[in-house]
Amino acid sequence: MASKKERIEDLIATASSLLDDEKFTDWISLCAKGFEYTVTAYSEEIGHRMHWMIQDRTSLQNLIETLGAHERDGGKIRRHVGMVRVVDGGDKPRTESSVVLWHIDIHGATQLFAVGKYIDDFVFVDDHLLFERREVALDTRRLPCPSHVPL
Amino acid sequence: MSRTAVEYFERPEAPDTHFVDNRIYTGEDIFREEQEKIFSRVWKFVCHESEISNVNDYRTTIVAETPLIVCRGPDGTIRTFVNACSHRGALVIRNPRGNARTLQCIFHRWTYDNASGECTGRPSEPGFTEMGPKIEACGLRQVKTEVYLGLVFVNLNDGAEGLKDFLSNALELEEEILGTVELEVFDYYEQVLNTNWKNWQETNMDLYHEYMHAINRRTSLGERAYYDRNWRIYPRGHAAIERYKVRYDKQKGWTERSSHLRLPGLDPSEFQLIDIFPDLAVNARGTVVRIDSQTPLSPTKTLVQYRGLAIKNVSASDRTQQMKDYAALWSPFGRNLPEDCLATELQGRAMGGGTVPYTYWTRQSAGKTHDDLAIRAYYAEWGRLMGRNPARPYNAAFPGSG
Repeated sequence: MASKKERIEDLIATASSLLDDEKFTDWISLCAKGFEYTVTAYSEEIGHRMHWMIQDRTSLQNLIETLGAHERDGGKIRRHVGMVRVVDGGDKPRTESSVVLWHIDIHGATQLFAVGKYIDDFVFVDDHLLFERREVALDTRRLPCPSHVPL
Repeated sequence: MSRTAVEYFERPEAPDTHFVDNRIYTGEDIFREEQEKIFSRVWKFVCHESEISNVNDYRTTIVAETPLIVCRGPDGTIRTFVNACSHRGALVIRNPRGNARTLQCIFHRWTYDNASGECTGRPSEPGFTEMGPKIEACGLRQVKTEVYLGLVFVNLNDGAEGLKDFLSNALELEEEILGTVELEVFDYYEQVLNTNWKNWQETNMDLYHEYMHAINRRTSLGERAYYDRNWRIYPRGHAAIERYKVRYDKQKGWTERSSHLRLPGLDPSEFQLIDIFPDLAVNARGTVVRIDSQTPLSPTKTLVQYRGLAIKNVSASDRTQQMKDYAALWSPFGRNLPEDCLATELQGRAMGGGTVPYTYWTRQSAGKTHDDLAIRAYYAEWGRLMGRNPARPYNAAFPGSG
């Protein structure tokens, strides 16, 4: 029987793999009904934490359903998640994991997209472990190219 | 039907006012001249006053390849100095933002007053007695600075006309929006685009490009009022488009914004755009404002700064709504910004080699939304300042035209 931490690590790895492959609908299925998702970055220029994406489960689903209508650069993002650190190991666990995101363009050229960390809150629903909240807290605040997709 | 090389490079059958030779985007000499004849001579937006709201706050930036530090002095006045130590030319301040009454260079610890710019201290002072320079001659260079509607502008030309004369009333449609209540920058993003700086500014004037945006196709392009707006053309290359109401409710999952905290003078669903020569664009979408400005880096590379502006001192829930309204379209993960950046980069990729000859600014629709008259007025001003016809910037014809 896998420990709680092992289950969390496996869920984060599964989520990353689905996001890498842009299987966004499958990724959403790993998220609880009240899932909240944000992408943030602290701005040295203005001394505020900025929120670059603020979504709930429904709005994410809408985004995913309409992604095909947008003009995109055709590249892919690959996530490299570091070791998972359990910040709160209680009934609603919280973890922090460093993440490095790489951008591969349509010609196969690869460059660093961003670095930051995933701050994840989890919930157990009928013994299924789900994401309850994810904050993608970026250190990078000048990206090689903007993007429509969840990180 | 396709064209032969001769046909392709042939000058367009349009007046010179209705197209440009694409060498204005790629010529290194033109880029250098723009730094001297435009960015060193006209009023340039550098920040919003809220970024230096406290006494002794500072903000650093670059204009015409000149490093600047914008300071709010102890008397509350905003002044700008060249951010280079008078000794060996090092940047005095390297951070984008901070607070300091005295500005100190790390190299030899020379210090400067943030209100007068004078050099106030040099270690081992007797060493300069014999050959100088005297400390009185070592002050930072001060640069003309004026503030209007909270927008801080600088001018490297000490003999320039005043800001009000330069703006020529072009911000009249923003006076109530920007000048009534206290606003603050709550979002700041920079993007390097591999394209000429003018291509980005054009995107804020070429509203015909909105067919590209999935969101605009749903919320705007189906509305008659969208097409029925008049461009207002001002002197000095500035322009403004009248406002209309965006149908946010037509986008799946989105709601209309009538209950959102509105900017003064603007309905929450209204969209208002003003373009100030050479690189400033002020987009207001009912509840938030986006301010675009640029630091051109080379003929084919520019750094765009995007500032999100909203009413200050609001409740947490109102601030969250402001952030959502802004991020939905304009953050680096919004619906529109990635598309605009992609399109202008595609221009850079195609034109960067110098083999694509012309850009057309020929659209005419009675001076309304998709008319190119704002861009034509822009390039008339560009041509006046540069002393070059943008359709014929060189005596020689475009290479390949035979």
